[in-house]
Amino acid sequence: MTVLQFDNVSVRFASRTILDRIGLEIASGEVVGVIGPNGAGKTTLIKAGLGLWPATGEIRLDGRPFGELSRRERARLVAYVPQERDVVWEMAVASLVSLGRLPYGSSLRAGGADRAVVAQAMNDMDIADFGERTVSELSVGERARVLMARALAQDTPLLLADEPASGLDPEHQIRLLALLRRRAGKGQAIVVTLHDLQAAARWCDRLILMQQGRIVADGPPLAVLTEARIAEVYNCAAFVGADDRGPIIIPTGLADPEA
Amino acid sequence: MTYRLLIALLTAAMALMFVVALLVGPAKLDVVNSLMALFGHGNQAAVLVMQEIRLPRAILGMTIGATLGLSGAALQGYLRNPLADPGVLGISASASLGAVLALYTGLAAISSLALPLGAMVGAVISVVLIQALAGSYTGTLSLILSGVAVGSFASAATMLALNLSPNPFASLEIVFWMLGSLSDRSMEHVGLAVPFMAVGWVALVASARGLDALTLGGDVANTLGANVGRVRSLVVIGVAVAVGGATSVAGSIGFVGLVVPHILRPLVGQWPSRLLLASALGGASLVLAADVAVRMIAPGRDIKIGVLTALIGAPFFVWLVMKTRRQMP
Repeated sequence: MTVLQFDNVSVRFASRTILDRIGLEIASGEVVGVIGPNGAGKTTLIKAGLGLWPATGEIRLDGRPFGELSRRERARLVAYVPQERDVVWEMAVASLVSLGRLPYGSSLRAGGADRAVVAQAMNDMDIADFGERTVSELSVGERARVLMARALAQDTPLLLADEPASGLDPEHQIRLLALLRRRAGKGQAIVVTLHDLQAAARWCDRLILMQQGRIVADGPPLAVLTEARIAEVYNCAAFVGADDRGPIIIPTGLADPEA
Repeated sequence: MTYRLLIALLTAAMALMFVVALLVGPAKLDVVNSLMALFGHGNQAAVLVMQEIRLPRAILGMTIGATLGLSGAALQGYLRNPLADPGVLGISASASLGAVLALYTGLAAISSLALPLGAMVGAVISVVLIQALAGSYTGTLSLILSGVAVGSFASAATMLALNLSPNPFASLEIVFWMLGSLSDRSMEHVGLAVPFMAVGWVALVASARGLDALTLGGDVANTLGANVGRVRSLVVIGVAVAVGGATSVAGSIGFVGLVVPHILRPLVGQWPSRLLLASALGGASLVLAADVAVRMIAPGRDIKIGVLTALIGAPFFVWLVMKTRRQMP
């Protein structure tokens, strides 16, 4: 089932075109990686899908045009994890995660049903034991999972996460992406922007490769990340292969050092 | 400690300080006679002291303290910054300028309404200016910068008025008023300021859920269904009206909006929404206590309450800055 649909979506800022006539569909249960060089428009794509950037063209959430949805309806359809992980107040982890229940009219006085959703989100992100600790007591990787759980507590059919794995060591990166995979297995659609091509190819069902505001390729990881395309979009030479554990993609140097 | 217990304790503390504020003063009245006089019994002088001097002073101390605590908590929640205070947005400085202009032009001598109305007009103009400067962009940086600009201009204009003041008595009056005080206020002042403050409180309390949503920033708040633009209007207008009302009758009493929310935040589980009521009650208790203290420390010398809160508040602010710096990576 399609949960997010972009039809001819463009975003312009001043005289610059940041997103250029984007068309895409995201279905429930899939993990979609949005990849591309810096400035390709990945973050803008995510923000347009949340209504945080004014866009032309049509965006549909759960089959309904974005503009027809109330704020609360939107908040029950799509959740967002921004790249920044700063948390100002020294809130307990369980309180922070329960903020995800605000679209349902509750957070502070989380009742039985809300509490169950919060507990499930914390379980799914493997942070159930952190409930009483504060965010500043956690490692960067743990904090990333807490903020992810906050979004999961919104219980939406679609999750958009901007660079959820940035700055994480390999262990925490793999842990986070594996947990997201498992979550998608329960039917949630998950869209993440990523820079690590290896991680993107290994953990996503599908990749959307962007360059200068356009979608260059969209499909299964190994169909999108060919050596020729990596050279063209990233200006990198790369080793592309696969074994029984999945795709292996390693940038090895610049494709054209003169460029 | 549960939230309900905390609110009950803070309410009790405020009620206690209110009664103490009624019982302390240069007129030597014992507890029984004071309380009887408050309700119109006993000798005329005592009734006058209680009903016309101490009661309005205590009511103003309580409501102005509540305004400052509530405004500080709301601004800190909205700006996501523990160093925010009604002063940051330049609203206090602008309210001061409005009042000083009323004094300077002599309007204050013609009508007792001129001073409070001047302060209110100053606060409202500052909000309109800040909104215009910051634009519809919902970020906090542009709002803070606009507030700093407006506040600096208002302070400079106030100094200019002082500079050009026609006679030393007018300057003295301006300076004394700028120090912040609750002495010699009447029921007329209460009637003038309290309705404005009450309107401000309603706006600020209405922002509570939005402040919770803002915990993780404006974008996340938006995706949680909060109307960030509306929250911003509620906070800025609520603070302007409430602080304008408070400043108009008491001058500037600084640092209450900074200190109180900071102390109470850990006790409400860091929830921005819960901090509002707690800070209002805490601010009321603190200003009442400070007003009792200035009367007890130096009876007859009329030490200004604004001076006392600044003497305690400024070192606290320095400590807070140093603590914040240590936490930053």
